Amino acid sequence: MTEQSKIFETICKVLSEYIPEGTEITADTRIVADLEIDSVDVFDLIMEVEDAYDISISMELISTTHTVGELTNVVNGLIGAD
Amino acid sequence: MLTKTKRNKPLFDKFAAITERHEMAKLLGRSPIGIPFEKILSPTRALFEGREYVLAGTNNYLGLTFNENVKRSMIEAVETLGSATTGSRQANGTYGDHAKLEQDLKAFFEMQSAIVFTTGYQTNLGAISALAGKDDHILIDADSHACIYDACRLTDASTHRFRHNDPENLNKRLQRLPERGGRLVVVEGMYSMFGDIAPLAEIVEVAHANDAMVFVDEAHSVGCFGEKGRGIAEAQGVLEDVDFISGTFSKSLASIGGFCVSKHPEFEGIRLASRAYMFTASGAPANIAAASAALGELKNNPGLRDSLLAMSNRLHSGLTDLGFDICAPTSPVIAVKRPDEATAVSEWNQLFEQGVYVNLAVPPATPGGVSLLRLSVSAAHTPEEIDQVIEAFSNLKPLT
Repeated sequence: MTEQSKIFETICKVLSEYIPEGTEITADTRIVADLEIDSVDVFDLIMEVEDAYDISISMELISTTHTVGELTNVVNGLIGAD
Repeated sequence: MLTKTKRNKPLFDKFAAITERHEMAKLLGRSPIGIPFEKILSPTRALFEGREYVLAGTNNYLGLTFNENVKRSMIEAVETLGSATTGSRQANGTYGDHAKLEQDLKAFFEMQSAIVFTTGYQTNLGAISALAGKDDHILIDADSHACIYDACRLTDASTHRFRHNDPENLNKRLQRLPERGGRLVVVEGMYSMFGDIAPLAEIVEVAHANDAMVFVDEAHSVGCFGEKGRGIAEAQGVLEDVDFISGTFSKSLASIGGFCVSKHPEFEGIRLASRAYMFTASGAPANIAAASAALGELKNNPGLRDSLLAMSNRLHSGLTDLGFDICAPTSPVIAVKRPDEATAVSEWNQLFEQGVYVNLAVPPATPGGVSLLRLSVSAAHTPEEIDQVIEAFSNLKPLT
């Protein structure tokens, strides 16, 4: 499994706490629009992702991240930058 | 061809969902938003449709809005200085009273710099957005007020949230930051929604250990906490350690406006850089006079804080004894958690029908997505008024 895939799986695991069981998630799934996660919960789940990887995702970056795939890329980039 | 009406429609589409939500709430009774009180009888009582209400949601913590010194100073200011300055602080809008109030605030907080802004909201917008720029990092408590979030959006700095009132989480996030750039930690003294208090001493320790400055918004805590009423920083023994304190005139200081003080004389530099300071008209003379007079009352009447604490304790214990879940230990803000929005709206209406006005707070304005009946206590509340509020809560019936 690639690093990207592992990150995607971890993010899906975090997301599972906020959505009905069995909800299908793909890279194109929009976190707010498709999964109906509200803005308050988005910040909380981002914090969980940050803690899982010991990274910091700025609010500016969060505001331009809409899909699960984009979030995966952000995390991958920050890990790579470290 | 599209008509003008159709072309402009998309701008309003974004309001459709919240408008519908508000209409649904009105099905449960009166809209809790913007009750137009016809007459304010005192800091704690008002008239609406000919009926008298106890006001338990005003943030009028010291009850100074009807204080004789405050009122007289406002009248004198209008008579001698006119209704408004009609200019910014940079132009013609700095009067002697503005400068004197800044000196008084500097002396009160024992700081090296004090700047007065036109509103409390603009204070945070203006100070935070000027302090942090490109390559800098701002770390804000997750439960920060909207003005803090908005201030961060105005900067080119990177903004990061840390878990509410969690110095360990703050430490973790500070240590993830790159070496380059300045660091500013922004917290509140007492949080406006839940009334909970920041562990400021630990936050200051963590921030300074990570080369970060600390900015404390004491909007809801000045006048209410500390031996001299200087807020949570004073109460927790770190007044000398925090770098910036912001506050408002619209709560304990019975006026409208705001201020930021700093132990750093270099803070004066933001007078030449802060857009919310430079590009807006300055506070009206009457508002400045009121804040000055209220500051004097705050300094000279520590009994006001004693009254506020006594009434806060009375209300908190009364509601707790009834079995209500209150978000924080006793403070002038008492947030009663409700199971859902519909229950909160129904109960807000039931309280209003019993002559008690409180605030309704629902998501997304509330931390953790909770629905609240939010009350704020005033030093001017009488025990009888507090008991009236408690009795009204005891009469609440479930939503059917």
